[in-house]
Amino acid sequence: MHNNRSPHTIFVQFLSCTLLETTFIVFSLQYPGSTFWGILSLVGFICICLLFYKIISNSAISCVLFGIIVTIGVVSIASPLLPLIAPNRIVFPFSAQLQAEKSEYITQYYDGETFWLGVDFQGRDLLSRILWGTRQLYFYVILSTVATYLTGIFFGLCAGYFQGWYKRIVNIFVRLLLNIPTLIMYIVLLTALPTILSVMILSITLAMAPRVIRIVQRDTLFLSKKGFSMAAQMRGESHTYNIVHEILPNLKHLIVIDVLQRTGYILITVATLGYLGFTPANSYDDLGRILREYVIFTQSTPHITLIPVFIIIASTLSLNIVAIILRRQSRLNQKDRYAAYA
Amino acid sequence: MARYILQQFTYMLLTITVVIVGLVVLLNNSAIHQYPTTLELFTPYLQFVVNGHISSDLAGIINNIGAALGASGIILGLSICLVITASFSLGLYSGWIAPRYIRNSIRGFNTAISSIPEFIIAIVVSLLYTYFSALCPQTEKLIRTNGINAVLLPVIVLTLYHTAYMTRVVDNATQITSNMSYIRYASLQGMPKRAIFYNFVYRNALKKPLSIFFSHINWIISGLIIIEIYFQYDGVGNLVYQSALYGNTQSMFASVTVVIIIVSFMRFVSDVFRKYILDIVDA
Repeated sequence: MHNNRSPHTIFVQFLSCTLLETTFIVFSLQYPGSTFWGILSLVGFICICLLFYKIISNSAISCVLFGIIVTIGVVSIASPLLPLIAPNRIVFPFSAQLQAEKSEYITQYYDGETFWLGVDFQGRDLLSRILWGTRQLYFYVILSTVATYLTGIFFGLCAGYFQGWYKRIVNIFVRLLLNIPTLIMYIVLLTALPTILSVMILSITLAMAPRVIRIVQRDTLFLSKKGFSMAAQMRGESHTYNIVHEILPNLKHLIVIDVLQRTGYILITVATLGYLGFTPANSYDDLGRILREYVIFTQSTPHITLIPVFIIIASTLSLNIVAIILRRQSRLNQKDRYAAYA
Repeated sequence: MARYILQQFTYMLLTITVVIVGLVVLLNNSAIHQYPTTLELFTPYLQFVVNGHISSDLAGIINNIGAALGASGIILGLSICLVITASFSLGLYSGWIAPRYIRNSIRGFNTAISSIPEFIIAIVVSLLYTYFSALCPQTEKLIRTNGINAVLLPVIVLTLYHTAYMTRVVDNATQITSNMSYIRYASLQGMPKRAIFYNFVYRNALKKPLSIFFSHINWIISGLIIIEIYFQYDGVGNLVYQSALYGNTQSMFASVTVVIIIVSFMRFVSDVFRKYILDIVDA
């Protein structure tokens, strides 16, 4: 083998972990109060983070920034296991008139022992709502990222490797999808079709996957012309073997960097969709929907919106900076790596 | 060149056709429209296409879209001018002559701003504006006024986000160009830094950012929609959103179609212009 790592190590671990985590998340969303699925999704998330840690452990700054995401993720995903008040439970009932008026002072109600961040205009615990909202947001982001990359890698690999009419068709679709403004696409799809989880993930995949396809296709084309890939073809190995054992492992660095950066974009997208009210209306609101509900209180009680805003900013910023640092390291090593491939 | 233009034109027509067909299929099958048959839903458009007759429904939609397009055009035009000016000058400065600490500050700021969703920038900007501006203490009052005040915050937010992104691109391109061997050679020959910049760096560094900027217009339009919704600005983005929210399928169909036609045409023009510019620069 030309690459010194076995192709069945990190990719297989990573793929299995991600697919398992996806299953756990789907069940957690189906049974939101279940402790069992809560624990499993938490364990899955920690495993994925540990695998990412293996890749970024060379850079101290990356580790610190990644730690921020992991901390927010672990605390929020563990919300069903924490001694929190149920996010939709009205613990401090206000009069109907105050609720209707969304009076300003009621969001400022504090009780240092019971409600750490106070309660909202409907008398629900704010801390609990924000943590559960972050959990929902992270779940949507993980599911969308998995769908985007499975689609993008599959079509990108095929288009880059097989070329010909297949590449042309894929490229026409990619070009068409890239021409449509993403937000218009989301609004149309999520209005015309029922606003459920699968439709939201489908829309995000349609908007994000073309970019992944382009990147994967370009590098697959580059790698398929290299000596090790040609040698595998000469040995009479099948196309599947060549793609899975020779090309895919060498795309690892590119994919990891892109996953980190694009997860940030997907997080931005899901938060925006939530803010516009296009995320699925489950029993628990995601962070975007929470922001949409509380944004009118921004000037009177800023903490009510600034905490969710801080969570979103910290997550996206950390993901982007880690991706930038990794890309810089990867660019430094690129010349040597490609020289070794040849 | 002619073949390239024809190819881009075909892509434009294809995009518009696919989107219109997709819209008809999706809106016809969706639960939101109030019309029992497809024919009733698209009757005003069919009448217009077949007879040239503009019904009262269609006239209302055309008026709304015209007004919304004008309002959006102001924000978009102002933002694009500001983004080009600010990002290209800041990026060239940062990538070419800025001291290390200024360059790092610019990069840090740009990375931070371009990693934050537009609506969150809008929340923060309106909060800051409320606290620090003596012009108008309430954003609600601001957005309901006319004139420059109505477009001030949307333009600031849109410009801030996209300037940050484009500055990163220009900065990187300038730095890569300034490390090229011919620049070093010119520098070693003793050419003044200013002459190197105007003769070599400037034109070569802006090639890639120009291409990226033209393909970035879709993102700017998406950002415009979010910002219009946040500030309740009566532009075309808000019109699409309100139509979707209240199930007004006729208005939604018309506004989305108009947006797609405009975006596709802008994309076509920008692709041709980019090719033309790149040819000139290469020559």
